[in-house]
Amino acid sequence: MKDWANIIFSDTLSFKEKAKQVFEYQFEQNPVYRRYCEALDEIKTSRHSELVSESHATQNNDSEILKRVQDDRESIPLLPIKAFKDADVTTRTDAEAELIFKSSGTSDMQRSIHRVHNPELYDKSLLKGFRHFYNLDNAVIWGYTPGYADNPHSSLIYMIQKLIDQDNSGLSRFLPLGEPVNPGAIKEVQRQGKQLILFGAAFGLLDLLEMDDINLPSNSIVIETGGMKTHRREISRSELHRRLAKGFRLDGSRIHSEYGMAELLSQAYATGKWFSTVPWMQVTIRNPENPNEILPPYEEGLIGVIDLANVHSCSFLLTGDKGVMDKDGRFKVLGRWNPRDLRGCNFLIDED
Amino acid sequence: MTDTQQRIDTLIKATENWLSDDNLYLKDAIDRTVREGYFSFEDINYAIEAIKKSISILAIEEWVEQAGLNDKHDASDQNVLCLHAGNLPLVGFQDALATLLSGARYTGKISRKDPYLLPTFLNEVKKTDLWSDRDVQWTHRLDDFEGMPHDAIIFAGSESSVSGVKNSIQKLDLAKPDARFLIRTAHFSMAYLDRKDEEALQALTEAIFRYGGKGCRSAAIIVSPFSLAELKAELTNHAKSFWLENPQHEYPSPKIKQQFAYNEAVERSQLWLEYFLLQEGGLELDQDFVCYWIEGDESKLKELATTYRDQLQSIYVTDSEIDLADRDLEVEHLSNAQQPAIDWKPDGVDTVEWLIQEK
Repeated sequence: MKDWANIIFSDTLSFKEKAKQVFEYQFEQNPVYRRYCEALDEIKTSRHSELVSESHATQNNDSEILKRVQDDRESIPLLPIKAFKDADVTTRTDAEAELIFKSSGTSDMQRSIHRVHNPELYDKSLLKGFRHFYNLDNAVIWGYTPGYADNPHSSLIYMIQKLIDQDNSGLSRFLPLGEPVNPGAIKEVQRQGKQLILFGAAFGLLDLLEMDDINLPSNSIVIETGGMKTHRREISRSELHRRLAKGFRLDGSRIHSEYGMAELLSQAYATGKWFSTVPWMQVTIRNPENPNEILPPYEEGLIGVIDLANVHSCSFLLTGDKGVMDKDGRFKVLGRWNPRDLRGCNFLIDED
Repeated sequence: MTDTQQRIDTLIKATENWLSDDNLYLKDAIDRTVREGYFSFEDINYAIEAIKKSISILAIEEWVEQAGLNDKHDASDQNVLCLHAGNLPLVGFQDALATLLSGARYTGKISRKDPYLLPTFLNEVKKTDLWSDRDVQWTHRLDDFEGMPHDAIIFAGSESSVSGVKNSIQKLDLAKPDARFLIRTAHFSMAYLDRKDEEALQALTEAIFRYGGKGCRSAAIIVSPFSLAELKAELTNHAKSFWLENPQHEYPSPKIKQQFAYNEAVERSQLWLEYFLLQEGGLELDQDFVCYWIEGDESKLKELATTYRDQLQSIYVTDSEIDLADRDLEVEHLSNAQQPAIDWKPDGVDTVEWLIQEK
């Protein structure tokens, strides 16, 4: 088997070349993705009425499909991310996964399951990715989330644990939930000349602020990991950042965001208003009515992701998130894409 | 003769005139609607025939009686604003008729997606002695009514659209401070198919495919003891025959191809028809031209009726003995899916009864 880590994190290979290799591998080895590509290809070249049969006949010439995407990365089909709920999205159908990540949700909800066959690759992706944006060597990482032992299937908590493990000072840790931050611990971070980086979900961080006044050192960074909409509460990202900056007594520029999910093994970070990706991940904005179409900058659509670290599952994914991109390839996450209520009567002020 | 009876008789007469074969205004409106691409001729014809079939003096009198409408309990002191959607031809007809029947003054915002058909009916009403220009008004632009506050406002909306509509109503001062709102939110219907004879499949075909499946009375979920695979050949033949007689007016977006490919990817049984996708399971209800097939019995039907209660308009059955009364939902015969009775209750609310309620 190829040394995928060397390929994916290579500084010499172009993204296009890496993507091509990963596509070929996943087309060959991931039955779910292969069926998706073949069916899309078949439907493009057939009359609709000829597709009445129960399943697609695999008449397509594989090399033709591969050839079509060879020179055009943008034509690589993006698999809807919900496939992680409906099927086993993996290239290693015969092997037991070493790690299993699940999307958050209640027990009666259908959750995404991401089987990770090469945890070392995820470790490398998350650490190299974090270092792409931050100086991990001088950082103390705090996570105001449940600990890893309580949530072994959370990719976010796994990531925070790995970041914590990199710090030898003993100051990095998960903060106990429901307890105010110990001011002495903050002082100790300062005393050791370290930079504090605090991770937490939107309302978790707001709840932490509710408990006590927290005055973080001015060079600290708070990274919110999303969760702006829950069953009970909803807040906009800008309002959240405003309240976090005020509550932690930090400049607004110290409040950052992380974009990740159980189905992805790479993360994007926003150190300002826009998210940027790591070099082995690319984002495009897709037309929700025609996901093959990439929308121009500043048009809202569905966020499409190519995450090469997903080499053993599927790297080419269409999320259910709404986003917009600027002309430099940075993007914003605007929440979940809510399709208009298409069926039935619906008086729309702009249309009716 | 009572005022109520006078309104019934006059509306029946106006409707007869409107639907008569020599009504050139209606013919012209149909022609323009087809020419300008709003709806197909076949769908318009079907909608008109459905109205013709549903209207009779007896049917209206029954409606009036069950709604409790009489000269003492009417809406004659009210101004009612109807914001008509335009997803189907003449979809606003029942609201307009109910408002006029109730004795209220009617203000209609005619949909720009169905601009010609309903006004031909309203013009017939205005020709009568009972209703004047002041009592029956309509426009295609909501701001034409700016500064005309109403006692009651009727429209169909959704979680995402209601706030925008309400803001516009407030901005244009279209509602009195104590105005009542009848906002309908049901979006689709469900059918239970426990027979696979010709008659049942024919009715199912109409329920799914008529109007491109865009009505809230269109069946978007089919629960059946039979699997989709079992009925594929029959459904394909019925759909093909349907589209031969009723050429599809609107086509699905390319997104549906992705859904087809996705179903293949996750090995979900599906039936791709010329303009529609039927798939087993994967209930998402997030796009047009997709109908969901669920293999199951009456208990599955009841379970889904509970799950989708807030979005569900009607449940259709082939056997009227199925009792879903405890679900507090309309249960109708499958063959009536696209041909509702004139007194049918959108979202379970009798519009006339609602209009005459005391504030």
